[in-house]
Amino acid sequence: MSAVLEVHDLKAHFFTRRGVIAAVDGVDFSLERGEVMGLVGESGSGKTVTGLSILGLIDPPGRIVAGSIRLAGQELVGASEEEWRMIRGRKVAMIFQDPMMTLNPVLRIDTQMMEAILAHEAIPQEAARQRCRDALGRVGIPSPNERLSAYPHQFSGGMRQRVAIAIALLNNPELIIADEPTTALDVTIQAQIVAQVQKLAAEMGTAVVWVTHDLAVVSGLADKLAVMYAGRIVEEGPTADVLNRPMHPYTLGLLNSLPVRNPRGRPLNQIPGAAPSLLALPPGCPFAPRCIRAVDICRQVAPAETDAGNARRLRCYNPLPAAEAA
Amino acid sequence: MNLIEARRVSKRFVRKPDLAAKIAGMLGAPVKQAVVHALDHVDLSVAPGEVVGLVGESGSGKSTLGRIVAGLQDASDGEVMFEGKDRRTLDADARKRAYLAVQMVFQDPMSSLNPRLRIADIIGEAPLFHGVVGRAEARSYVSEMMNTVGLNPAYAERYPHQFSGGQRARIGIARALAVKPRMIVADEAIAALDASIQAQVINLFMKLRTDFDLAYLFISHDLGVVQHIADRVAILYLGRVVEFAAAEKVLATPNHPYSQALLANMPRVETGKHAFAPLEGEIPSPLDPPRGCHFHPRCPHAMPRCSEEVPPLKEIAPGWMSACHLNDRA
Amino acid sequence: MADVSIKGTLPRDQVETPFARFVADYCSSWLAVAALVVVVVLITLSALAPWIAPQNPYDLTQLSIFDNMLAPGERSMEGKLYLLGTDDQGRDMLSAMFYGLKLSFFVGIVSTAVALAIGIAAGITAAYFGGRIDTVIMRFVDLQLSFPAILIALILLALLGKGVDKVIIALVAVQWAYYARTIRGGALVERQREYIDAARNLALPSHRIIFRHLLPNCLPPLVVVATIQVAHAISLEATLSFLGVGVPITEPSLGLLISNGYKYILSGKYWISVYPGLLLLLTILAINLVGDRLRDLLNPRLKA
Ligand SMILES: Nc1ncnc2c1ncn2[C@@H]1O[C@H](COP(=O)(O)OP(=O)(O)OP(=O)(O)O)[C@@H](O)[C@H]1O
Ligand SMILES: Nc1ncnc2c1ncn2[C@@H]1O[C@H](COP(=O)(O)OP(=O)(O)O)[C@@H](O)[C@H]1O
Ligand code: SF4
Ligand code: SF4
Ligand SMILES: [Mg+2]
Ligand SMILES: [Mg+2]
Repeated sequence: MSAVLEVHDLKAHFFTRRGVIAAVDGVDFSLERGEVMGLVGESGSGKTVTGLSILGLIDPPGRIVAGSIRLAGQELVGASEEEWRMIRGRKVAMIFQDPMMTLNPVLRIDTQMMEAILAHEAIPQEAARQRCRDALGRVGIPSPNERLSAYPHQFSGGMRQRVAIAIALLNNPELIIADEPTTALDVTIQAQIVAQVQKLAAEMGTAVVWVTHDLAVVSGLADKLAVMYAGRIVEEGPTADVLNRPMHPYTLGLLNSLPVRNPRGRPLNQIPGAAPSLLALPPGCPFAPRCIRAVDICRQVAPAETDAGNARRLRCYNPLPAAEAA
Repeated sequence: MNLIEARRVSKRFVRKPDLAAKIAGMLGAPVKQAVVHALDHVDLSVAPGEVVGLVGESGSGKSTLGRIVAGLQDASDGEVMFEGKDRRTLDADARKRAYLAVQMVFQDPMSSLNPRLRIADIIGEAPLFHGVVGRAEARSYVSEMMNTVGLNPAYAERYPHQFSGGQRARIGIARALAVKPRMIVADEAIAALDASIQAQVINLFMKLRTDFDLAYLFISHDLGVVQHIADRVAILYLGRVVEFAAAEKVLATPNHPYSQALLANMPRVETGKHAFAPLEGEIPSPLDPPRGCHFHPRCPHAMPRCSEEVPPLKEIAPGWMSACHLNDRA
Repeated sequence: MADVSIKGTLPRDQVETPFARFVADYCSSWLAVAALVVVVVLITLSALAPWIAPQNPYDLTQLSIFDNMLAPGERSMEGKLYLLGTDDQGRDMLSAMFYGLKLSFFVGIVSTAVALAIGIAAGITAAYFGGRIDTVIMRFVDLQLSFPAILIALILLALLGKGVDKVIIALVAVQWAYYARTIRGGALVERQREYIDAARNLALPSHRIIFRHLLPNCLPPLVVVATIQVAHAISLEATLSFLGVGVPITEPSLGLLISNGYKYILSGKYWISVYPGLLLLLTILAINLVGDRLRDLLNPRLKA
């Protein structure tokens, strides 16, 4: 089976007056149909820019400087604006942290949903309406028929996010990129949305990239996990495998700092220091200043990606042995 | 004696009618004034040196309660006692000391720092103004505070924008500490920080607790964090405390159905990939909360009585309070 | 109240102040830098007018009616060179323009400064205290803003009579409300920020919170408005003088010079109006360019 999405050596840089920000600097991954990938990392590690690159939404001063993004075999890097219009919303859709990025506050929900369908297909009004109703129903909005003629402000935050997901689903895209879609939501509402997305991926075969900084959310949702640090994926593999046997010191540090992994009331195992500025990256491995396992070479040459077996990949000179951490 | 005790505290916000409602009202349509009961007869106490976690969903009134305890807002009803005395009845000097004794640490590390002041002034202004330190010692006092929270004192002349998120959080903590408070109200104080930085700041909070014998009202939606540092936990739902007890009880064997649902929905790294079984339904609007028990439309155990009668917060075991009619059956 | 600032008591490490960063950003547009240079040069020239102008145009004893209406570059009978010609009174246009510019800047800057002070006091009081105080002040502002500025100024000057001081009073009266509204808008936003809560939590008194915490953070949008309002005030003064209700004829401002020359334009004596006109245009354009750049830099929505 061929992959829905293949990202190879993607580099997206921002050319600012203060210097070049290598927001995404060599990212590789691929996704199969119905597969959910969790993309985790701290803020500024390049998660959003990765997602925006796949939608061709990087604006100046940023641009994709290298690499390839293939969606169902079609190369997206260098596609014309015309081609992008056919791709965006139809083959790949994005869900943002703030649903109002997708929703227009002054238009009714049905107007916005119909527009999203009719932009790509010439189908009768009634058929389009039916599809909108179905989509709202699928994301668990009660009485979708009445809700269609409401305005976004008449929905709660969780409902709005579900409407945004419904719009993303309208054209049965092959890929959905969800950028921190539940970060602003409450625990019980987050659980509802995660459950919906899980069901959709399984039933519709939609591939999902779920961007978040919360390891706990993806642990229950994602098939595989990619951990980003300073513009690169430093560790990737099947979710349970990575969480139970992290090999990269950063992944281990993140896991060990979780309160549930520490005895109650005792100091947490913290990672010292803070993420580096992308404008002043240290030479070598960007994690080296905070890494307890750093060796000499770490401070000289950035580690390349290596295959660690069991569908796991890694960027580290001195990884933890796969057995130790468990 | 409790350091802080909220007794039957209620807070109502009157939403002003918007333009459309005003016009409708002028034309004779019945427009009722929208009143939000942000807090509804809340009782809560914090003992000296104790950490009380306050958990609840958005709009449940956590910040409102925190701000009332910190003296930033006044309650509509009920009183807040500081060391057994109502702060409003104290004379001016004692009142000022009582308010300074409860300091707040805010959620957004950037917007809670004045962007036009240097760190030295942000931390040093209030203690100097209130005479906590003299002018001559101000400099070393600021350095001491910065050391305490793990900041390099050489950065005292910098501005907030020159710091990372975690460092800004530390500045906010140093500012609160500088007036020698007895208690800190931390309102989602780590929510805006990165995972690897959250652990550092939690550790700092715990260190300060032992070093200065500080009490905390620790507001968070992250049950894992609350479980880690809180002695007692209060769970808020739509302006009411539904359960209040020792952390190991509430978070291990919750009594209230809402606490149970919250715990079941909490994402955990441990579980691995699984099907989520979420609690159904939306959080009701605080403008128009359900009658009786606020939780009844979503509660899997709801009985007819639940939609009629407000369940009072009752002691179900020593030191364990819960507000659910189910407890009356046994 | 004791000054409790402790600036300078700590060792300075290398600090990039917000101001230094701002200057660097400003300088990245050469047009804005050029405009700023023009403004600075014009202000300097006008300030130095008594020393660099060939003639004192207000001193009637220096004027000779026989030299009137000389074209640019012509010499008088005594051989004096008039680079930009003379007007109908025999005034050296170049000198008259230096002095006129000086008067225009004086009126523009003084009226803006006074209006700014009044506007800030009114606007920030309204925003910080809210409620009834806010309502009363803002109704007054709305009332003021609902009349065209020129109309209010004309009425005031009709009542007060001519004179530089009267023009300034009229300009203050028409401007303060803009500032009050601008600063109130900014202050309402800033007041929501948590650092104001933090200051209240630290039991600092209201006046200290207003002047030390709230006000400095509301100034940026005001700087933009004030810059552009200086240009506005200058052109309003020119309009009033042109209409004959502004400054007295013995102390011509740029507007009055234009007005004086207006009647000769059709007879080919273009220079009396055109040179002061160009100078006025240059002044206002340059100030507006500076203002636009400030607006771009200070607009939070454009910031990353
Ligand atoms: N100034 C105000 N005017 C009107 N309503 C208000 C005001 N402040 C709070 N409320 C309302 O009071 C209720 C409780 O608000 P509060 O901010 O305490 O919630 P919270 O539990 O802190 O939520 P979050 O997790 O989103 O911060 C909400 O319904 C809110 O809309
Ligand atoms: N429009 C932009 N201009 C300049 N830098 C940008 C822009 N957008 C993002 N960046 C930078 O790219 C890096 C990665 O950003 P992002 O992908 O948004 O991180 P996150 O992992 O938090 O989603 C950050 O350092 C950010 O500052
Ligand atoms: S490459 Fe070296 S510094 Fe980087 S994570 Fe691995 S051990 Fe640490
Ligand atoms: S009182 Fe009734 S509705 Fe409320 S939590 Fe208990 S059982 Fe559920
Ligand atoms: Mg992001
Ligand atoms: Mg809150």
